[in-house]
Amino acid sequence: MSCVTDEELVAAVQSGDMQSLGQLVVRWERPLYRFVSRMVPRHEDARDVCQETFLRVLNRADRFRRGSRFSTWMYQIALNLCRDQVRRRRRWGKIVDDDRDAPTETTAAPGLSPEAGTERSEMARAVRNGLLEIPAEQREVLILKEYEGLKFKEIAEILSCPESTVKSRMYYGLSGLRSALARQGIR
Amino acid sequence: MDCKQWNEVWVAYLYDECSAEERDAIEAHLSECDACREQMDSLSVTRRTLGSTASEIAAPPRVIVLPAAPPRRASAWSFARGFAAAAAVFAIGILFGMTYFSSERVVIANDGAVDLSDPVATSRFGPTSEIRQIRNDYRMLDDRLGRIESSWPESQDDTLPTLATMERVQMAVGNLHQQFDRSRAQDLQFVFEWILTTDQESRLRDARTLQVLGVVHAENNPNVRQR
Repeated sequence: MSCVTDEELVAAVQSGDMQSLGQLVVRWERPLYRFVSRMVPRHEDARDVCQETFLRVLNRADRFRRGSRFSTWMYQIALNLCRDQVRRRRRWGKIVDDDRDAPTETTAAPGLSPEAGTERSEMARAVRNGLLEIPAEQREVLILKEYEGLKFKEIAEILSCPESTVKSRMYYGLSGLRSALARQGIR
Repeated sequence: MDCKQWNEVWVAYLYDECSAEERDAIEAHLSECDACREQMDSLSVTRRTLGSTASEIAAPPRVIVLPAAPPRRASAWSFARGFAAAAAVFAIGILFGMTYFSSERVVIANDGAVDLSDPVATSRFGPTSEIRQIRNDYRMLDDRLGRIESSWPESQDDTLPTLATMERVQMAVGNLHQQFDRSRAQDLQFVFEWILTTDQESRLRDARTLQVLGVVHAENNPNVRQR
Protein backbone atom coordinates (compact mmCIF):
# COMPACT_ATOMS: atom_id res chain seq x y z
CA MET A 1 0.00 0.00 0.00
CA SER A 2 1.38 3.36 -0.95
CA CYS A 3 1.89 5.90 1.83
CA VAL A 4 2.74 8.81 -0.38
CA THR A 5 1.29 12.04 1.02
CA ASP A 6 -1.03 14.28 -0.92
CA GLU A 7 1.59 16.98 -1.00
CA GLU A 8 4.16 14.59 -2.50
CA LEU A 9 1.65 13.65 -5.14
CA VAL A 10 1.09 17.30 -6.02
CA ALA A 11 4.84 17.75 -6.32
CA ALA A 12 4.84 14.82 -8.75
CA VAL A 13 1.98 16.40 -10.70
CA GLN A 14 4.03 19.58 -10.92
CA SER A 15 6.68 17.60 -12.74
CA GLY A 16 4.12 16.19 -15.16
CA ASP A 17 3.30 12.86 -13.50
CA MET A 18 -0.35 12.30 -14.40
CA GLN A 19 -0.50 9.01 -12.49
CA SER A 20 -0.09 11.00 -9.28
CA LEU A 21 -3.02 13.17 -10.19
CA GLY A 22 -5.01 10.00 -10.67
CA GLN A 23 -4.16 8.94 -7.14
CA LEU A 24 -5.18 12.31 -5.77
CA VAL A 25 -8.50 12.05 -7.58
CA VAL A 26 -9.21 8.60 -6.18
CA ARG A 27 -8.34 9.74 -2.67
CA TRP A 28 -10.40 12.90 -2.75
CA GLU A 29 -13.24 12.45 -5.22
CA ARG A 30 -15.69 11.19 -2.59
CA PRO A 31 -15.05 13.81 0.10
CA LEU A 32 -14.99 16.49 -2.55
CA TYR A 33 -18.23 15.32 -4.11
CA ARG A 34 -19.91 15.16 -0.71
CA PHE A 35 -18.83 18.70 0.05
CA VAL A 36 -19.74 20.11 -3.36
CA SER A 37 -23.11 18.35 -3.38
CA ARG A 38 -24.07 20.22 -0.27
CA MET A 39 -22.85 23.53 -1.55
CA VAL A 40 -24.36 23.10 -5.02
CA PRO A 41 -27.53 21.07 -4.66
CA ARG A 42 -27.96 20.24 -8.34
CA HIS A 43 -26.40 16.90 -9.07
CA GLU A 44 -25.13 17.81 -12.51
CA ASP A 45 -23.65 21.08 -11.23
CA ALA A 46 -21.88 19.21 -8.44
CA ARG A 47 -20.34 16.83 -10.95
CA ASP A 48 -19.20 19.73 -13.11
CA VAL A 49 -17.66 21.50 -10.15
CA CYS A 50 -15.78 18.36 -9.08
CA GLN A 51 -14.51 17.84 -12.60
CA GLU A 52 -13.43 21.45 -12.86
CA THR A 53 -11.74 21.31 -9.45
CA PHE A 54 -9.48 18.47 -10.52
CA LEU A 55 -8.78 20.13 -13.84
CA ARG A 56 -7.68 23.24 -11.97
CA VAL A 57 -5.51 21.14 -9.68
CA LEU A 58 -3.91 19.82 -12.83
CA ASN A 59 -3.56 23.15 -14.56
CA ARG A 60 -2.47 25.12 -11.52
CA ALA A 61 -0.31 22.56 -9.77
CA ASP A 62 2.65 24.89 -10.13
CA ARG A 63 0.86 27.43 -7.90
CA PHE A 64 0.64 25.01 -4.98
CA ARG A 65 2.84 26.41 -2.25
CA ARG A 66 5.31 24.14 -0.54
CA GLY A 67 4.31 23.62 3.08
CA SER A 68 0.59 24.01 2.36
CA ARG A 69 -1.93 21.21 2.73
CA PHE A 70 -3.35 19.81 -0.47
CA SER A 71 -6.82 19.38 1.02
CA THR A 72 -6.95 23.03 2.05
CA TRP A 73 -5.94 24.13 -1.42
CA MET A 74 -8.40 21.78 -3.09
CA TYR A 75 -11.29 22.89 -0.87
CA GLN A 76 -10.43 26.51 -1.63
CA ILE A 77 -10.62 25.81 -5.36
CA ALA A 78 -13.87 23.88 -5.00
CA LEU A 79 -15.41 26.51 -2.76
CA ASN A 80 -14.66 29.29 -5.23
CA LEU A 81 -16.12 27.21 -8.04
CA CYS A 82 -19.24 26.51 -5.96
CA ARG A 83 -19.67 30.23 -5.32
CA ASP A 84 -19.27 30.95 -9.02
CA GLN A 85 -21.78 28.27 -9.85
CA VAL A 86 -24.36 29.61 -7.41
CA ARG A 87 -23.81 33.16 -8.69
CA ARG A 88 -24.24 31.97 -12.26
CA ARG A 89 -27.43 30.14 -11.39
CA ARG A 90 -28.86 33.20 -9.73
CA ARG A 91 -27.81 35.45 -12.57
CA TRP A 92 -29.68 33.26 -15.00
CA GLY A 93 -32.81 33.36 -12.91
CA LYS A 94 -32.38 30.04 -11.21
CA ILE A 95 -33.42 30.92 -7.70
CA VAL A 96 -32.52 28.83 -4.72
CA ASP A 97 -36.11 27.67 -4.54
CA ASP A 98 -35.52 25.70 -7.70
CA ASP A 99 -33.03 23.58 -5.87
CA ARG A 100 -35.18 22.84 -2.89
CA ASP A 101 -36.83 19.52 -2.72
CA ALA A 102 -34.85 18.52 -5.79
CA PRO A 103 -34.41 14.77 -5.82
CA THR A 104 -30.87 13.89 -4.94
CA GLU A 105 -29.24 10.55 -5.13
CA THR A 106 -28.87 9.25 -1.63
CA THR A 107 -27.21 6.24 -0.25
CA ALA A 108 -29.48 3.41 0.68
CA ALA A 109 -29.89 2.91 4.39
CA PRO A 110 -29.46 -0.80 5.01
CA GLY A 111 -31.54 -2.34 7.75
CA LEU A 112 -34.07 0.46 7.96
CA SER A 113 -37.78 -0.17 7.72
CA PRO A 114 -39.66 1.71 4.98
CA GLU A 115 -41.13 4.05 7.60
CA ALA A 116 -37.75 4.75 9.13
CA GLY A 117 -36.28 5.26 5.68
CA THR A 118 -38.99 7.76 4.82
CA GLU A 119 -38.50 9.59 8.08
CA ARG A 120 -34.81 9.77 7.48
CA SER A 121 -35.32 11.12 3.96
CA GLU A 122 -37.70 13.75 5.30
CA MET A 123 -35.14 14.76 7.88
CA ALA A 124 -32.43 14.98 5.23
CA ARG A 125 -34.67 17.16 3.08
CA ALA A 126 -35.52 19.41 6.02
CA VAL A 127 -31.84 19.83 6.85
CA ARG A 128 -31.02 20.53 3.21
CA ASN A 129 -33.71 23.19 3.03
CA GLY A 130 -32.66 24.58 6.39
CA LEU A 131 -29.08 24.92 5.19
CA LEU A 132 -30.32 26.88 2.19
CA GLU A 133 -32.06 29.32 4.50
CA ILE A 134 -28.97 30.42 6.40
CA PRO A 135 -26.36 32.79 4.92
CA ALA A 136 -23.89 31.15 2.55
CA GLU A 137 -20.87 32.02 4.70
CA GLN A 138 -22.42 30.20 7.65
CA ARG A 139 -23.51 27.29 5.48
CA GLU A 140 -19.94 26.85 4.21
CA VAL A 141 -18.62 26.59 7.76
CA LEU A 142 -21.31 24.16 8.87
CA ILE A 143 -20.70 21.87 5.91
CA LEU A 144 -16.92 21.93 6.22
CA LYS A 145 -17.12 21.31 9.95
CA GLU A 146 -19.95 18.83 10.33
CA TYR A 147 -19.75 16.88 7.10
CA GLU A 148 -16.08 17.13 6.22
CA GLY A 149 -14.89 16.95 9.80
CA LEU A 150 -12.30 19.68 9.44
CA LYS A 151 -10.80 21.53 12.37
CA PHE A 152 -11.73 25.17 12.88
CA LYS A 153 -8.16 26.10 12.07
CA GLU A 154 -8.30 24.29 8.74
CA ILE A 155 -11.60 25.93 7.85
CA ALA A 156 -10.09 29.30 8.69
CA GLU A 157 -7.28 28.56 6.23
CA ILE A 158 -9.69 27.54 3.51
CA LEU A 159 -11.85 30.61 4.00
CA SER A 160 -8.87 32.89 4.59
CA CYS A 161 -10.35 34.37 7.73
CA PRO A 162 -9.56 34.29 11.48
CA GLU A 163 -10.46 31.20 13.45
CA SER A 164 -12.67 33.28 15.72
CA THR A 165 -14.72 34.32 12.69
CA VAL A 166 -15.19 30.68 11.75
CA LYS A 167 -16.40 29.82 15.24
CA SER A 168 -18.74 32.78 15.25
CA ARG A 169 -20.21 31.75 11.89
CA MET A 170 -20.55 28.23 13.22
CA TYR A 171 -22.49 29.44 16.22
CA TYR A 172 -24.86 31.63 14.23
CA GLY A 173 -25.15 28.97 11.53
CA LEU A 174 -26.25 26.35 14.05
CA SER A 175 -28.67 28.79 15.63
CA GLY A 176 -30.09 29.71 12.22
CA LEU A 177 -30.42 26.10 11.25
CA ARG A 178 -32.23 25.33 14.49
CA SER A 179 -34.75 28.08 13.73
CA ALA A 180 -35.15 26.87 10.14
CA LEU A 181 -35.77 23.31 11.31
CA ALA A 182 -38.27 24.56 13.89
CA ARG A 183 -40.18 26.33 11.12
CA GLN A 184 -40.41 22.98 9.36
CA GLY A 185 -41.78 21.37 12.49
CA ILE A 186 -38.57 19.66 13.57
CA ARG A 187 -37.47 20.19 17.13
CA MET B 1 -18.62 37.37 32.03
CA ASP B 2 -21.38 38.28 29.59
CA CYS B 3 -22.98 35.09 28.28
CA LYS B 4 -23.00 36.44 24.71
CA GLN B 5 -19.22 36.51 24.75
CA TRP B 6 -19.24 32.73 25.03
CA ASN B 7 -20.58 32.14 21.54
CA GLU B 8 -17.25 31.23 19.99
CA VAL B 9 -16.30 29.13 22.98
CA TRP B 10 -19.59 27.21 22.86
CA VAL B 11 -18.86 25.75 19.45
CA ALA B 12 -15.26 25.00 20.38
CA TYR B 13 -16.59 23.12 23.40
CA LEU B 14 -19.28 21.45 21.32
CA TYR B 15 -16.67 20.08 18.90
CA ASP B 16 -14.11 19.37 21.59
CA GLU B 17 -11.62 21.89 20.25
CA CYS B 18 -11.08 23.98 23.32
CA SER B 19 -8.27 23.98 25.81
CA ALA B 20 -8.52 22.35 29.22
CA GLU B 21 -8.80 25.77 30.87
CA GLU B 22 -11.61 26.80 28.57
CA ARG B 23 -13.40 23.53 29.20
CA ASP B 24 -13.23 23.99 32.95
CA ALA B 25 -14.47 27.57 32.67
CA ILE B 26 -17.35 26.58 30.39
CA GLU B 27 -18.48 23.73 32.59
CA ALA B 28 -18.32 25.93 35.66
CA HIS B 29 -20.43 28.52 33.89
CA LEU B 30 -22.94 25.96 32.63
CA SER B 31 -23.46 24.68 36.15
CA GLU B 32 -24.52 28.17 37.19
CA CYS B 33 -26.34 29.55 34.16
CA ASP B 34 -29.62 27.89 33.13
CA ALA B 35 -29.96 30.00 29.97
CA CYS B 36 -26.54 28.98 28.68
CA ARG B 37 -27.15 25.35 29.57
CA GLU B 38 -30.34 25.43 27.60
CA GLN B 39 -28.55 27.14 24.73
CA MET B 40 -25.81 24.51 24.75
CA ASP B 41 -28.37 21.68 24.78
CA SER B 42 -30.12 23.27 21.85
CA LEU B 43 -26.89 23.61 19.84
CA SER B 44 -26.04 20.05 20.65
CA VAL B 45 -29.39 18.78 19.37
CA THR B 46 -29.05 20.78 16.15
CA ARG B 47 -25.57 19.43 15.67
CA ARG B 48 -26.80 15.85 16.09
CA THR B 49 -29.62 16.48 13.61
CA LEU B 50 -27.16 17.89 11.12
CA GLY B 51 -24.77 15.00 11.65
CA SER B 52 -27.53 12.43 11.23
CA THR B 53 -27.82 13.36 7.56
CA ALA B 54 -24.11 13.02 6.87
CA SER B 55 -24.52 9.88 4.79
CA GLU B 56 -27.34 11.23 2.65
CA ILE B 57 -25.17 11.93 -0.34
CA ALA B 58 -24.52 9.32 -2.96
CA ALA B 59 -21.05 8.29 -3.95
CA PRO B 60 -19.80 10.12 -7.01
CA PRO B 61 -19.04 8.38 -10.28
CA ARG B 62 -15.53 6.99 -10.02
CA VAL B 63 -13.05 8.94 -12.06
CA ILE B 64 -9.31 9.18 -12.11
CA VAL B 65 -6.82 10.98 -14.24
CA LEU B 66 -4.48 8.57 -15.92
CA PRO B 67 -1.27 9.25 -17.82
CA ALA B 68 -1.93 11.32 -20.84
CA ALA B 69 0.11 13.53 -23.09
CA PRO B 70 2.83 15.38 -21.19
CA PRO B 71 2.27 19.07 -20.58
CA ARG B 72 2.72 20.95 -23.81
CA ARG B 73 5.46 23.53 -23.83
CA ALA B 74 5.74 26.31 -26.32
CA SER B 75 8.55 25.58 -28.76
CA ALA B 76 9.85 27.01 -32.00
CA TRP B 77 8.07 24.20 -33.80
CA SER B 78 4.74 25.03 -32.17
CA PHE B 79 5.13 28.68 -33.14
CA ALA B 80 5.95 27.61 -36.69
CA ARG B 81 2.88 25.40 -36.76
CA GLY B 82 0.75 28.25 -35.45
CA PHE B 83 2.14 30.59 -38.04
CA ALA B 84 1.53 28.06 -40.81
CA ALA B 85 -2.04 27.56 -39.61
CA ALA B 86 -2.67 31.29 -39.56
CA ALA B 87 -1.21 31.62 -43.06
CA ALA B 88 -3.42 28.80 -44.30
CA VAL B 89 -6.48 30.40 -42.78
CA PHE B 90 -5.57 33.72 -44.38
CA ALA B 91 -5.11 32.05 -47.77
CA ILE B 92 -8.48 30.34 -47.43
CA GLY B 93 -10.06 33.69 -46.62
CA ILE B 94 -8.51 35.31 -49.68
CA LEU B 95 -9.58 32.44 -51.94
CA PHE B 96 -13.06 32.49 -50.50
CA GLY B 97 -13.40 36.22 -51.02
CA MET B 98 -12.07 36.09 -54.58
CA THR B 99 -14.39 33.24 -55.51
CA TYR B 100 -17.29 34.77 -53.74
CA PHE B 101 -17.05 38.09 -55.53
CA SER B 102 -16.20 36.84 -58.98
CA SER B 103 -18.65 38.27 -61.52
CA GLU B 104 -20.05 34.83 -62.33
CA ARG B 105 -21.06 34.02 -58.78
CA VAL B 106 -22.88 37.20 -57.84
CA VAL B 107 -26.28 36.19 -59.10
CA ILE B 108 -29.24 38.39 -58.30
CA ALA B 109 -32.70 36.90 -57.89
CA ASN B 110 -34.88 39.65 -59.31
CA ASP B 111 -38.14 38.15 -58.20
CA GLY B 112 -37.22 38.47 -54.55
CA ALA B 113 -37.42 34.73 -53.91
CA VAL B 114 -34.47 32.96 -52.31
CA ASP B 115 -32.32 31.51 -55.03
CA LEU B 116 -30.71 28.33 -53.73
CA SER B 117 -27.97 28.62 -56.30
CA ASP B 118 -27.16 32.06 -54.98
CA PRO B 119 -24.15 31.89 -52.68
CA VAL B 120 -25.30 35.08 -50.98
CA ALA B 121 -28.80 33.88 -50.27
CA THR B 122 -27.58 30.53 -49.01
CA SER B 123 -24.43 31.78 -47.32
CA ARG B 124 -23.90 30.56 -43.75
CA PHE B 125 -21.36 33.23 -43.00
CA GLY B 126 -22.10 36.17 -40.84
CA PRO B 127 -24.75 38.83 -40.77
CA THR B 128 -26.93 38.25 -43.79
CA SER B 129 -28.14 41.84 -43.72
CA GLU B 130 -24.63 43.16 -44.40
CA ILE B 131 -24.06 40.73 -47.23
CA ARG B 132 -27.43 41.58 -48.71
CA GLN B 133 -26.55 45.27 -48.53
CA ILE B 134 -23.35 44.62 -50.43
CA ARG B 135 -25.30 42.62 -52.97
CA ASN B 136 -27.82 45.42 -53.40
CA ASP B 137 -25.06 47.99 -53.78
CA TYR B 138 -23.47 45.85 -56.41
CA ARG B 139 -26.76 45.42 -58.24
CA MET B 140 -27.35 49.17 -58.17
CA LEU B 141 -23.90 49.89 -59.55
CA ASP B 142 -24.26 47.20 -62.14
CA ASP B 143 -27.55 48.71 -63.32
CA ARG B 144 -26.00 52.14 -63.42
CA LEU B 145 -23.10 50.95 -65.55
CA GLY B 146 -25.57 49.24 -67.86
CA ARG B 147 -27.52 52.44 -68.28
CA ILE B 148 -24.39 54.41 -69.04
CA GLU B 149 -23.29 51.88 -71.62
CA SER B 150 -26.72 51.70 -73.27
CA SER B 151 -27.10 55.48 -73.41
CA TRP B 152 -23.76 55.97 -75.13
CA PRO B 153 -24.63 55.25 -78.83
CA GLU B 154 -28.07 56.92 -78.56
CA SER B 155 -26.83 60.23 -77.29
CA GLN B 156 -23.78 60.43 -79.52
CA ASP B 157 -25.24 59.05 -82.81
CA ASP B 158 -22.42 58.93 -85.29
CA THR B 159 -20.32 61.58 -83.63
CA LEU B 160 -17.48 61.08 -81.19
CA PRO B 161 -18.39 61.27 -77.46
CA THR B 162 -17.79 64.62 -75.88
CA LEU B 163 -15.07 65.10 -73.33
CA ALA B 164 -17.66 65.69 -70.58
CA THR B 165 -19.44 62.42 -71.36
CA MET B 166 -16.21 60.49 -71.29
CA GLU B 167 -15.22 62.03 -67.97
CA ARG B 168 -18.66 61.22 -66.54
CA VAL B 169 -18.39 57.62 -67.62
CA GLN B 170 -14.84 57.29 -66.30
CA MET B 171 -15.91 58.77 -62.99
CA ALA B 172 -18.86 56.40 -62.72
CA VAL B 173 -16.70 53.41 -63.51
CA GLY B 174 -14.07 54.60 -61.06
CA ASN B 175 -16.71 54.96 -58.34
CA LEU B 176 -18.04 51.55 -59.13
CA HIS B 177 -14.62 49.98 -58.75
CA GLN B 178 -13.97 51.82 -55.51
CA GLN B 179 -17.26 50.72 -53.99
CA PHE B 180 -16.70 47.21 -55.18
CA ASP B 181 -13.21 47.12 -53.66
CA ARG B 182 -14.48 48.52 -50.38
CA SER B 183 -17.24 45.94 -50.21
CA ARG B 184 -14.82 43.16 -51.01
CA ALA B 185 -12.32 44.36 -48.41
CA GLN B 186 -15.00 44.53 -45.75
CA ASP B 187 -16.25 41.10 -46.57
CA LEU B 188 -12.78 39.61 -46.66
CA GLN B 189 -12.05 41.11 -43.28
CA PHE B 190 -15.25 39.71 -41.86
CA VAL B 191 -14.66 36.24 -43.28
CA PHE B 192 -11.07 36.24 -42.11
CA GLU B 193 -12.02 37.27 -38.56
CA TRP B 194 -14.78 34.71 -38.48
CA ILE B 195 -12.45 31.92 -39.50
CA LEU B 196 -9.81 32.99 -37.00
CA THR B 197 -12.35 33.19 -34.19
CA THR B 198 -13.79 29.82 -35.05
CA ASP B 199 -10.35 28.31 -35.28
CA GLN B 200 -9.39 29.72 -31.89
CA GLU B 201 -12.57 28.49 -30.23
CA SER B 202 -12.12 25.12 -31.81
CA ARG B 203 -8.58 24.85 -30.45
CA LEU B 204 -9.76 25.75 -26.95
CA ARG B 205 -12.53 23.17 -27.13
CA ASP B 206 -10.10 20.54 -28.38
CA ALA B 207 -7.66 21.25 -25.58
CA ARG B 208 -10.43 21.04 -22.99
CA THR B 209 -11.80 17.84 -24.48
CA LEU B 210 -8.34 16.27 -24.38
CA GLN B 211 -8.05 17.11 -20.71
CA VAL B 212 -11.46 15.71 -19.92
CA LEU B 213 -10.74 12.59 -21.91
CA GLY B 214 -7.69 12.07 -19.74
CA VAL B 215 -10.08 11.44 -16.86
CA VAL B 216 -11.10 7.82 -17.17
CA HIS B 217 -12.27 5.05 -14.93
CA ALA B 218 -9.65 3.24 -12.92
CA GLU B 219 -11.13 1.66 -9.86
CA ASN B 220 -8.73 -1.24 -9.69
CA ASN B 221 -5.55 0.64 -9.23
CA PRO B 222 -3.84 -1.32 -6.45
CA ASN B 223 -1.47 1.54 -5.62
CA VAL B 224 -4.24 3.89 -4.70
CA ARG B 225 -5.54 4.29 -1.19
CA GLN B 226 -9.24 5.16 -1.02
CA ARG B 227 -10.46 7.44 1.76
